[in-house]
Amino acid sequence: MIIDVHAHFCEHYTMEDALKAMDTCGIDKIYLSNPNIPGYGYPSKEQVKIQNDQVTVFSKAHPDRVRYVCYVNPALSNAQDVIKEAVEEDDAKAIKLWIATTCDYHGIDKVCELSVKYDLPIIIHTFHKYVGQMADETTGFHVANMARRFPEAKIIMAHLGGDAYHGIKYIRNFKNVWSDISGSNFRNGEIEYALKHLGEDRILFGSDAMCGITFHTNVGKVAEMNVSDEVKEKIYWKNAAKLFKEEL
Amino acid sequence: MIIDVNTFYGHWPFRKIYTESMDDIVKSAKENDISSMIISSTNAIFYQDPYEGDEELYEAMPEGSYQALTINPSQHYFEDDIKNGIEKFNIKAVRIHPEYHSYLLTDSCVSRLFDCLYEHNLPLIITGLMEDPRMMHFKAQEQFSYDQLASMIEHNKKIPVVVTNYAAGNWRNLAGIVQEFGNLHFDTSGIKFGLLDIIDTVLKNAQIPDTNLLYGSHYPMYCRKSTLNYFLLDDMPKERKDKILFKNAQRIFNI
Repeated sequence: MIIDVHAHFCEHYTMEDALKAMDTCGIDKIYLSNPNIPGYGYPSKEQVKIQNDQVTVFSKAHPDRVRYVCYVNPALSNAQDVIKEAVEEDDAKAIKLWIATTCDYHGIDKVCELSVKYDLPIIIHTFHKYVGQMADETTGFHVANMARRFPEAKIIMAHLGGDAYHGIKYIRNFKNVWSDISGSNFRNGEIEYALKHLGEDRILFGSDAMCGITFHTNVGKVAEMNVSDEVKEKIYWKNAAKLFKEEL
Repeated sequence: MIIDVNTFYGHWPFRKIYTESMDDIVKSAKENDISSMIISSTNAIFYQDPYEGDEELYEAMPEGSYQALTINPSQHYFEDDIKNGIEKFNIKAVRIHPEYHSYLLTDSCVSRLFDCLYEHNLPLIITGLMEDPRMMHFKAQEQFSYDQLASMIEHNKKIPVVVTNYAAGNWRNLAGIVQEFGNLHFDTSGIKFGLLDIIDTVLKNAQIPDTNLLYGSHYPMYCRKSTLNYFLLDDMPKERKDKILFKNAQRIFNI
């Protein structure tokens, strides 16, 4: 069993392609969002709606395999409305933040308040880069600030912070923060490093597929770990099932 | 059978690698049905005299695997080191790290290197980058340009060259060079993107024939199972799979 908490809709692929890829790589369920369309890092209200609608078509067609993760731009005045509609009409299971703002931007408060009210985890693109950092790209430092201000929010720091050796220590003392392993890199030892600092209950499987990045490499990252099968199962699906209250 | 043409042994100074001992490297190979490895020394990248890193590697070499000697062609004595490497270590390739050793692939020292490789009938391995520069807290690496690589191949047609950990998105820009000269190859550690039939799609998009791709993991810096999953999970014609997993390596490295 594998639950992928961090996957993306991609208009270049059909639903059948996506399901076939999931089957090929043993992915049972995906938490799907649609933030990263090139050129739309700072999306308008209309663009956010288009992107979220593309996901709900998929999640409604395959409710057994696909969970809707609602993408929000916290800088927009309708951010709360987007979340309310996503939960009440489209059964959203999480909130996704990308690069429109860092996650300690003041407008994030209204997002966090609703995430607590609806008990929705917030999945935050997090990537510290020594080369090519984007202007409003969240790092582990920002996630820690957010976690400190909103201890009741359930926060997922994506990509192990991009660079685990930068991101993980910022969040290790915040028990309301999990981290997913998703991303293009498959550096040996990074998940072990996260495990050492976060423990086996706060690491989640994610891929960052299907907008480019493979399921294959991310499945391999966990398979590679020199840990017990029990720990691997927690990372592959048990931690996610508990966090998202999946009925399996 | 699988031959991993891109394995390292030694200490990686920029972050802790939990599996960098030779016992761990061999254990990983066995677990993944890898029957042979082309192994290079990470220490040799950083020692002022790279040969000392290869001496360490030779002492640790496992049976059935082969050594790629690391040299810095800007050091004038490299030809002697290659001769010694052949005699003492039975090397199957020479490896260079232009990203760390501050020369260009178009420099005259690289031409001298090719003359030496031709004399000894040895292929060359070039590392694209050892780590993703976004995550390198020491900015010591500098990747060569397409132009340098293309120019080097054009002027050194005789020797097989394997470029490792070089992003597959770059390969398309070199497809013409690959097709014209035939001796430029890549390894699988540079493949990170795709949804289905990853290898077939990468080769098609890059317009690279399957004779010019080799299985290389970049282990232990990278996870071996990540790139092996392209072969374990996707359907692929056996003929293509065999070429990439071992036949191309047997041909190029004379194994």
